[in-house]
Amino acid sequence: MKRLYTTAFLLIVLITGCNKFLDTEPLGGVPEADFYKNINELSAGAVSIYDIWQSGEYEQAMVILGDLPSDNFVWRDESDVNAMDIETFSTTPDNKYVKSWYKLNYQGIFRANRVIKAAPSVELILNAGNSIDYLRDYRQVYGQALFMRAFFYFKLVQAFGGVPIIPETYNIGDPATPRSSPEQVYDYIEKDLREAIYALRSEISVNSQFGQVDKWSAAGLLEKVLVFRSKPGTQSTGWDEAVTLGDWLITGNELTIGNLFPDGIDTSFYRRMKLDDSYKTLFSNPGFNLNSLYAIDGNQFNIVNNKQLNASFITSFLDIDVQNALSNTEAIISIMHKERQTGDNLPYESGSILPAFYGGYNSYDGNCRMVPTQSLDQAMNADPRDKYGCLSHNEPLPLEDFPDVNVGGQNGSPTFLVFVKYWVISTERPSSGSAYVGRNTVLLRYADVILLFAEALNETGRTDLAVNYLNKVRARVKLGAKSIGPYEMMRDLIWKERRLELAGEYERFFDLVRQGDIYSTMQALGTSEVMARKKGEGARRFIRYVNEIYPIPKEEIILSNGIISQNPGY
Amino acid sequence: MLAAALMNKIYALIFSSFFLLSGFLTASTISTPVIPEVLALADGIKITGKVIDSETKETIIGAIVTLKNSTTGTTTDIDGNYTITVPDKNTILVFSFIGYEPQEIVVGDQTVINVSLAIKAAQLEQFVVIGYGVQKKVDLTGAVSSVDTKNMNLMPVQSVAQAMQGRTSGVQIIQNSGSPGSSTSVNIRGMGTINNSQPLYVVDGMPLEDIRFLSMDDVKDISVLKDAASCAIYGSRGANGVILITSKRGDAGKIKVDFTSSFSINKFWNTYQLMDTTEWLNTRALYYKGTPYEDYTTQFTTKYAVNDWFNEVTNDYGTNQKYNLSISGGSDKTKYLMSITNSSDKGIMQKASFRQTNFRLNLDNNLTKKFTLQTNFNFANSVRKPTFEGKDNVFQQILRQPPVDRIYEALYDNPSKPDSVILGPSYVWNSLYAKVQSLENEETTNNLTGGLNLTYNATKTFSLTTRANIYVNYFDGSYFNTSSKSYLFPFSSGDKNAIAKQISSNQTYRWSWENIVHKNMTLSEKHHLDFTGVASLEGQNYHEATSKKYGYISDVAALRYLNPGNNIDYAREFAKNYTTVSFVGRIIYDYSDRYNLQVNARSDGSSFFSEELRWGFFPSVSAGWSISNESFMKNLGLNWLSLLKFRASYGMLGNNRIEEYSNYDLVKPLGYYIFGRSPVLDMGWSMSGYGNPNIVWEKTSTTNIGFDLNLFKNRFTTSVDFYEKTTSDMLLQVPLPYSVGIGEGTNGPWQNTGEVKNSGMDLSASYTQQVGEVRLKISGNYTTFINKVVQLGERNEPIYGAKIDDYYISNYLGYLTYTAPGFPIGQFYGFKTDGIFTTEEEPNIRYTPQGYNTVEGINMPQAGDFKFKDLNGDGKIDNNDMTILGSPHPDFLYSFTLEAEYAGFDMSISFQGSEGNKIFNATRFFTAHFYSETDGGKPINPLSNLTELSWTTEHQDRPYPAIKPNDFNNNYRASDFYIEDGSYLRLKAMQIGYTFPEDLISRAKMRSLRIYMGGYNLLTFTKYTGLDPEIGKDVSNTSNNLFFGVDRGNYPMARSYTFGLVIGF
Repeated sequence: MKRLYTTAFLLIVLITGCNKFLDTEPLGGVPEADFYKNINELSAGAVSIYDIWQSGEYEQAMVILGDLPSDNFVWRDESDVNAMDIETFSTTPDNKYVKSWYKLNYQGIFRANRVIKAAPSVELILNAGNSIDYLRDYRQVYGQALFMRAFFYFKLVQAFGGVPIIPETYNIGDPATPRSSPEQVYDYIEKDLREAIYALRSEISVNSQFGQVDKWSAAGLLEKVLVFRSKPGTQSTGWDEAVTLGDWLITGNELTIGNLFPDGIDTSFYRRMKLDDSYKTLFSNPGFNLNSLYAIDGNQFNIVNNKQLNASFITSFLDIDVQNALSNTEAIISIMHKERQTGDNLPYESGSILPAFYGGYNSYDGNCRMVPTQSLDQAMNADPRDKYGCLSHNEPLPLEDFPDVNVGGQNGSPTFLVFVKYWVISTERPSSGSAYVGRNTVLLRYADVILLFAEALNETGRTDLAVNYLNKVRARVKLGAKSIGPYEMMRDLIWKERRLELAGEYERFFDLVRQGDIYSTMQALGTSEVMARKKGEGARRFIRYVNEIYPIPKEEIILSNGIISQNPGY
Repeated sequence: MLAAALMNKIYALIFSSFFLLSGFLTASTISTPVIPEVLALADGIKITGKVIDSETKETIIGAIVTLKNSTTGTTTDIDGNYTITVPDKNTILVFSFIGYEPQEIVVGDQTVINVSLAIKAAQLEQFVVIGYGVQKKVDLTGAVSSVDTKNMNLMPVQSVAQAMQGRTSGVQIIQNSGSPGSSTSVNIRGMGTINNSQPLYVVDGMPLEDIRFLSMDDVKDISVLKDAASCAIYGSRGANGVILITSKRGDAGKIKVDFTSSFSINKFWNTYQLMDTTEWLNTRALYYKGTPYEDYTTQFTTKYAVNDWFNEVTNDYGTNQKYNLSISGGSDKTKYLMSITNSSDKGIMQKASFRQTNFRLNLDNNLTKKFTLQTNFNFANSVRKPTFEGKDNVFQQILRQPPVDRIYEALYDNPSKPDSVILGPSYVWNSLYAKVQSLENEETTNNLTGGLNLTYNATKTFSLTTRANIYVNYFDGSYFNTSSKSYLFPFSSGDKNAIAKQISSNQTYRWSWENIVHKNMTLSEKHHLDFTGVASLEGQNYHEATSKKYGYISDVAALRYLNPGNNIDYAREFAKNYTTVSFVGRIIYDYSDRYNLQVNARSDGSSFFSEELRWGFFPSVSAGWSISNESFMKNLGLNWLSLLKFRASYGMLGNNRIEEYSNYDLVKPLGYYIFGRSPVLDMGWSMSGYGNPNIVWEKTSTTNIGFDLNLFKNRFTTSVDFYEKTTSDMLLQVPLPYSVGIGEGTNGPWQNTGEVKNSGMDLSASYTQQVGEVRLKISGNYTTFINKVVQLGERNEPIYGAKIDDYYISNYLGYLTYTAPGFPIGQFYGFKTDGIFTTEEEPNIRYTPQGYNTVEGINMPQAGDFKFKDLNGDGKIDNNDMTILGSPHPDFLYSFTLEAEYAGFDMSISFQGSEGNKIFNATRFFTAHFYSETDGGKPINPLSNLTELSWTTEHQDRPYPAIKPNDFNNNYRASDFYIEDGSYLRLKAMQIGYTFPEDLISRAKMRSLRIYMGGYNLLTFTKYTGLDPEIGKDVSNTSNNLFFGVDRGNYPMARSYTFGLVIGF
């Protein structure tokens, strides 16, 4: 019996010992529960969200979904059936660009969710020396995650309508999340953006942080979101709020906490923003203590950056490549692409919108893939911006010859136009590696925000102010001022200006959908186009209430076991 | 630093081993081996007689007749007669002959003694190595194949796994690439899982995944454990079968020196007949007929044209040299075996080579009466220079290089005047010859395996063993990119950044420690009981570091290190580890040579799983009944029946071969972004997917029923097994909806969901017969299996695989395999073709205008395009019309070997084949398709008969689509166009040898001398049109079962001619 006990005892010791032996520490990774313990780790989490932006897959899908099914562009690369399907409104649920767009935006949301989930539990060690900067750093990181999540959802709701909202608390055991309505998604986006405006820095002054989104970015995006969710010709709070926000962004009026959070602030906000309990009341109290350790900029928001419209569109647009590490002064949000000092691209960074326009990935092969329609060319004909938009192949590039655009094959017969806004002249290209890096991708420009503001002003009956802002955009490209007119006329003028100013900036399709104009626009396009496919085909295939949004990827329906439903008509 | 320190230790160990060994050599007296002498005695009884074969009654010539315990003897003459004088009546005569059972006869009063000798019952004597011991083959209860290792070391192949091909039933072995030193796919009884299905190798007790370090010359026995009951004792990770390898050891006695040497010449047995310049230009003219591009043909200069890129980058032949020297011997106390192998393989492709040197030292010491110590030690150093493999492999590149691209000399002659430009400036630099010549890659592996095995023999029947093994593998890859451009014009371009150096090293350190209790009990005359208990601990650490620099001022050899590089591209480091604990018990029970029973139970714990779920319990049982030993059978007097035995087994085993830490939600470095006014790359951290803390062991249970039947005094032996192998709780990365946000495919969390079933039959048989003086043996193997996925994930979602990671091809072909319930793993998937459209109208009748989803009238298929079948009949050709096109799994595998021996000559011929498997010949995208520069891709170089096979309006019956630039139909999408029959029969090996008679060589103090010549892959019968029908997995990811049987331009098997010699002293 004694022997039995001894044996049993030894066995127990052995088994416990073995269990210990089997506990291996994961190498090269940290369990999520042990990560995000300080600002550095949280900040690394934010970097991984930006990473989604800079992939070639993301940027090309953005261009093809945003610009191709419109009156602006024609697809030439006939080997790419997926792009041609999108162009002619024949998109199927297995379209690869649609899939990329859906998948990558959600990958971004997943990464943002990691940060948003962890942020409130990050412990900040405050002392007299570092407190305010520390809090600002914290809120900057948190704000970036909120901003990025809102950005990705905005791209999704634009392209697919209502999509599933995946909360940061989602876990793999949870059942698939069904789709929310577009309104619910927009509400979710707005909430994130409003909080991001509060959290983000008003000026990125630290050199190493240059390129991060700031209060400007969040406010600019919110302006766009408000306009996109409002219906032209219909009064709504969206238009009113767009005016209030624009007043602050552009005119320089004050914005209060009350303006920013018209529906009030939920209690978790204080905790998430690391605000002391005592400030719950302070938000409603004008006597906010600016010197407080816990405050950032008080309850009134001032934008320190002073964005301006550049006098010359020409230089301002072309300097968006950042050889000198300067972003376009007009750009509010850009995807950063930079070159090494040696001219080579930095590793891991592969993205660019350029292949969508100019052909294969490793060279400018002269086989432009996306070229302007004649409709766009004619619209821009008398416009100074034309030389940055549409060129027939014999026209010279303004700043330099165009020796390497080998348009229309070897014998040089002009068969199509070239869209030259993004053309990088040969001397500016990296000497090796991918030929497309080194030029930032602008996601939101000041001119865009001004036009959105002008539109909101027009919608809320302040036509006089609207024309003012419209003319600001025109003046900078030395176009004559428009005089004030009735609502409808003003609206059409603003929309026309948007088309020309923002040509090739991957939002024409969504603009047309928003303006309710797409069917007639595509119809009107029909007769004049040289490219036979564009000639009426897009309009003929376009089905109202179907083609305004893209199909949900096939795999998504399958993988969610049908819980995520397809858009009608697909 | 760590690596250097360890290397020092290894060198020290080698040095001291040699020191030790030289001590043994000096200690042993080297004396002349004793040769039986034929002497006649002056006095005594004269005995005469005849020796015949007991079965055939034929006389045996040269049978040896000796006096027992003496060296006196004689041999039989040409009529089988002998005469011998014996000293007295008590003398015992021993009659023996090679291959026969010796017979002893007491002389007594006889003066005429006629003897009939029986052929050796080799089968009955044979011992088979099983886990932690050996067992008589007749006592086996499970499915174990013992591999005939005879002459395996003489084959001109590098790896043990490769040498095993066709030598055993139930095992499918395919070399993934013919490139020297590359990997091998081994499937025992089919693919049990979608994950890694390679078997576990156990070398001298050490469980391993890769045995490329091992020299075939050092291998004594190989056993293949196929069913769960047999594998049970090696269970964890043994679910896909175990290959048990024992190395040679020294025998007590005189020192033996063995030397083998061989030289082989390797050549391609098959080459591509590609278009030459004229054919290519004519085809291009046809392609562009009626377009403005047509004229450009005349502008192509043929001046620098190369007709055959294949010739430019291959050698006329490759060579393979192999030397092995082994010295063995010992005393009762100490036995030793030392072996050195050196083999080198110069590939048929330029710049591809492989060299490996092995040192082995095996020692057996009887420390005291009760303690014995076994020591094994092997060090292998190999240097591999790979050519382009996997992605952008060299054979694919040959097909992508039109003959009009000129070779480097032309440019070098006149670099200032590149008068090509038709194909664009990029092609100037793309000379494949220059690319191959600029390859400066070298992969060095240093491998040390060693084991200490200390046994305490408490009594004759009870022993305790402790066994420690280590496996240390250092891999150092050195890759220097000179770029073909700088090969052409050394530094004239000044492009310093194009020159880069990458080093990539990894280190695997694996150890195991086992404690074994063994008790053998004879309960009575009839009852035998054998108990084995094992406790084992095992761990592995893996570490990997990669870094790259660029910006070199020169590419001379002296500067091909990291230091001279100007800029750091990246520096990465990565590590992982795991541990396993197992407790195993085995009881073998034999009753009266008739009934055998074996019971195994094991409990495995693995660090791959969460704490509460990491233990798995796996039992198995097997039984055998030798019905032929029953007295009622014996009474029947069936003399022809030597053995009939039935076997049955059932057992279950676990598999944990997934990624480490799959049970954790791990945050890792993920992605980069650029911030800062001066560009700085910031690294992101995030989870790339979810872990699953709930995963448990994948389980494979096997039911095996078999029988052994030996006839005619065991001259005919056969072993047949039927099995069903079911893998359940299969570990699978289940894809989640995209909206979860973890992307596609490999990021899904691991889940225990899915079931795969393999069922089939293994058969092996052999027949031996003496015809006059010729001894013949015929043996063969037959293997058939049916692989079927029963369940996949909770939703039975199909899994797509085998996307070729080449930008251009993958755009056309996409995923090539489809794995879904009801079908085997990795079915080829695509569209079905139904001939070719012959008129412009036909497509319009056949499909609705929307059918092609593109614009009516413009993008409809044209005459000369494939008719793809509209399988669901909706008038559209879309992904819903894709279907299963064939299976990469064969219906059956077979092999057979003929051996003959006559008067010192021996000959063997082995055939090996596979029947019923399909190959997805992705190279047809290049070989059976013409496109040129305007399609955005790079031009290609198709087979020269393409124009004769392609549809034209004049020849409407031809099978290939028309040669034309507009491919609105997407003719070259994945379809049955690419599917080919991969069946083949191959004359794998043929060898003729001559063993010199002992009396001749003894004068030269030799023990044995054999010379031989051989030929490998001499004949291949196949309908497959690619270079070689042996297509394995993707060389860059050999654990991926979904990429099987896809030919992306694989390095083919070579035809070899070998000459060699085996000497023993």
